[in-house]
Amino acid sequence: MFDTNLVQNVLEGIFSAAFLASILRVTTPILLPSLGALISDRAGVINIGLEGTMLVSAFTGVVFSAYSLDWFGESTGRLIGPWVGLLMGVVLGVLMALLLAVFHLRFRANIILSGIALNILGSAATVAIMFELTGDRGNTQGNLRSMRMPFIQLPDFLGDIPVVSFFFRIFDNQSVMTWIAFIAVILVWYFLYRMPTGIHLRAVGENPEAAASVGIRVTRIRYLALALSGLLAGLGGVHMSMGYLTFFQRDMTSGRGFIALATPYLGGGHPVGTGLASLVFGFFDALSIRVGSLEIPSQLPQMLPYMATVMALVIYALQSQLAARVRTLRSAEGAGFDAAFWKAIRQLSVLHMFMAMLAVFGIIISIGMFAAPDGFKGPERAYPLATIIGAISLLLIVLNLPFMLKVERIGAHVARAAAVAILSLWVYLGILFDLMLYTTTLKDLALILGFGAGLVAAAAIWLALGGYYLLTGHRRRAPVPA
Amino acid sequence: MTRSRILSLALLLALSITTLVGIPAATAQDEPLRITLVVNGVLGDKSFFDSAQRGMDRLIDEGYNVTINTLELGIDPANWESGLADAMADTDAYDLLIVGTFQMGEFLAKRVHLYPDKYFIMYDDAVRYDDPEFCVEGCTNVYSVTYAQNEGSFLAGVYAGAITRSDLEGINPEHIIGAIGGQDIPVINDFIVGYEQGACLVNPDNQTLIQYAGGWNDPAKGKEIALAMYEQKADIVFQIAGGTGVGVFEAAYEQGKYAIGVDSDQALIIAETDPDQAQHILTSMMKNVDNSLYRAVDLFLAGELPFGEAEVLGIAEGGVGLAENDIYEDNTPEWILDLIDAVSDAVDEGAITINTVFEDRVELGYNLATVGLPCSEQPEVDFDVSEFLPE
Repeated sequence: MFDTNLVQNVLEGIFSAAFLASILRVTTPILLPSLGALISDRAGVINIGLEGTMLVSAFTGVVFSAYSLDWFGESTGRLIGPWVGLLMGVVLGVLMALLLAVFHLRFRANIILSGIALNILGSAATVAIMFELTGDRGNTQGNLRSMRMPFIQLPDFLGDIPVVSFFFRIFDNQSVMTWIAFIAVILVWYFLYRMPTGIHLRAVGENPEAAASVGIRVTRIRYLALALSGLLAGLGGVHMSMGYLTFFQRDMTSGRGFIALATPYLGGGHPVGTGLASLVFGFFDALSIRVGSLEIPSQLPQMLPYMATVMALVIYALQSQLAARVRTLRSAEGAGFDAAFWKAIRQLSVLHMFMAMLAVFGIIISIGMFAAPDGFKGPERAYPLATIIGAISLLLIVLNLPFMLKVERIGAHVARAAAVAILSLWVYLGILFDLMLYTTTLKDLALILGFGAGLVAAAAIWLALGGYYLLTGHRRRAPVPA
Repeated sequence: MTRSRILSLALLLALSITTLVGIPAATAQDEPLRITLVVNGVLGDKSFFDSAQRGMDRLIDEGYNVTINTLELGIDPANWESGLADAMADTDAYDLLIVGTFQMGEFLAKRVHLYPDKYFIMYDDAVRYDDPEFCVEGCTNVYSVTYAQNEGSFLAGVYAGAITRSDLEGINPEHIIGAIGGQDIPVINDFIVGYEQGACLVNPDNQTLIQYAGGWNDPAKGKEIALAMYEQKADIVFQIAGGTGVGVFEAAYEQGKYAIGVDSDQALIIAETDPDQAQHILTSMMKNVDNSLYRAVDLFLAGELPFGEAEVLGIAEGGVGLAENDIYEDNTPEWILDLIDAVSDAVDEGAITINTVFEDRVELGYNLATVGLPCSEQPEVDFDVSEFLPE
């Protein structure tokens, strides 16, 4: 269908350590502010001003690292400059967040409006000061010599061990900020779930009056939460200008501070979930970059991250509804509540939803091919393929829909649900494995091996998600009357 | 009384100075020509808009009797139409209004008939003079100047194609090059079709990776796209993505590969703070917006600017060309320097028919093409590269 050489290159690019490394790179500047959004959200004071905070920190980092060369001399400046930049960037990030805190907590201003003001301030102030310092309103290139946070080199011998070498290529030569970001996930988790202050913070977010009634100082906790969100956004901002890139450009964060507001919701309000949600964004961003060089209409890959967001939000909404229903059942049925059964049902329902959502992708791709066949090497090639993709996608949606709308059906008709789930998974995994093998020396056997492995994997995933539990004869226990 | 004497003295002084630098006499005694430059973006992009501003600065520096007022409309496209309308309605502030880019052409065209005693210059896009839906009264007070970016990009393509088969440090044996566009719009595609054609001239098996970033102000994304291209074995990447493309240079530096800048001489700008990185920006495809606007205002003052018409400036007119700075001279192998000179001359003489995506430019002697043509489907070109190739 396409220039096979190019497809081969793109595929090799996707199924490579370098691709996974690029996911980590792309994720880092989303993950750090996401954790900031999470903390502020859990305390009930969502920090909308992350974007502006990141810009201020990014700019401050560049300025201080560049000037430390003048202040401390060339050699000392090179050594401590990055850290001076990091420190000042983070300090300014915290100050920005405290500004928001003072407006909201002290002067009772609306936190959303104040946050928007903070974003505008961040965007405008950085440009104004940049113009003052350099006479340039675009970026600092050519005027300020920004320094770079170090990259972490792993010991070389790891690269020689088979299998380990694959992971070595992912994690070697990543910015120190990437490591900090992922370590921060664990720290934030520890803080929120294991430290008294973190537990107080969550209580304040759930119900401030109740928290106040047991003696938690609500306002103080919220100051702390906002300061922490500023600190994390500040780290993200410094990473943009001193890790990912080595200059400041106006509005260079390009909406990452806003995406960060969405990830805690996708992640279910949990630090690890937020980390995974950020990785999902990073994955689709990186994927859209990899497939972008294929000769398909450029709008298609560009919409991937946004499609993924919509998809994730739909699944999140459906799952929240289901969770609420299960909670009601649990309290109604009391001791007779069949927890294991509902766990299996919930896990399998996510699978059905995911399968249907991926098929929606397929429909869109198919429509795209019908609308712009020239982008896919002409109508005579595009139309048949588009018809096949569209038909299969439609079939998968129709098959999975009953189990999405009424999840009890998964337990009531185990065989049918199993067939649908495994068939859907088989289609996707088969294509995935086929493409993966296509990049190796097994190119000719790719189709058979890929779909064979796909079937095995699909069955295994279904069994693991709760299919085994349902298959071994477990039906929903009748509730015991209380 | 003293005041009026000082005033007349100052006037006399101004008169004598302006006469000395040779401003046309007709304008010398008059009020200065008030020029408003409307920028639909921000200055400081180190390329396109900065180049327009440089043209204005040059007018001032050379003592032309003009005043310049630059209006920046910001990066939010939603504000561009209203911003331009406001600037045009402020009739006390300008005699000549200059605005550029494909996005602004329509906004300008549908309003110029409201200001029949004002003059307008449109750069990088031509208003549609024949279409009454846009130019209600024929846009007779608008002069359009566009650039044959396809010609300049053709040179950039020849250069990239030659670099990818050269023995420069870090070059792999595959003949793969890359181009990163800001958006999938005609002007950018006009760059790309020329670039692809140029590379095919040097390498019949050339492969050009093309990708659009989908925005003009995300350097991190530009860097990430470039890293992916270098990993797909591209040796040199042409950035046509404004502020997004600045990230491409960092990727080139980190990977030990090469990049081509756009619109301004981007290597010289970066060399100020990062000379090592600048070494990887071998050249830039310059759109000499500054020269074209300087020339247009100069012609206007002389009363010779052809309003109601569009001009296309190519290599021959100095509208486009490669940046031939020290980095270019030092890093480029001798045979490539010769090749570029020869191709330049051939284009100048019209010996090579270059691709374009603009239908209305076919009559200027270009060949209509689409993005992504493989070398086998590129038009035949009457130019022999083999005598320049090494070995």
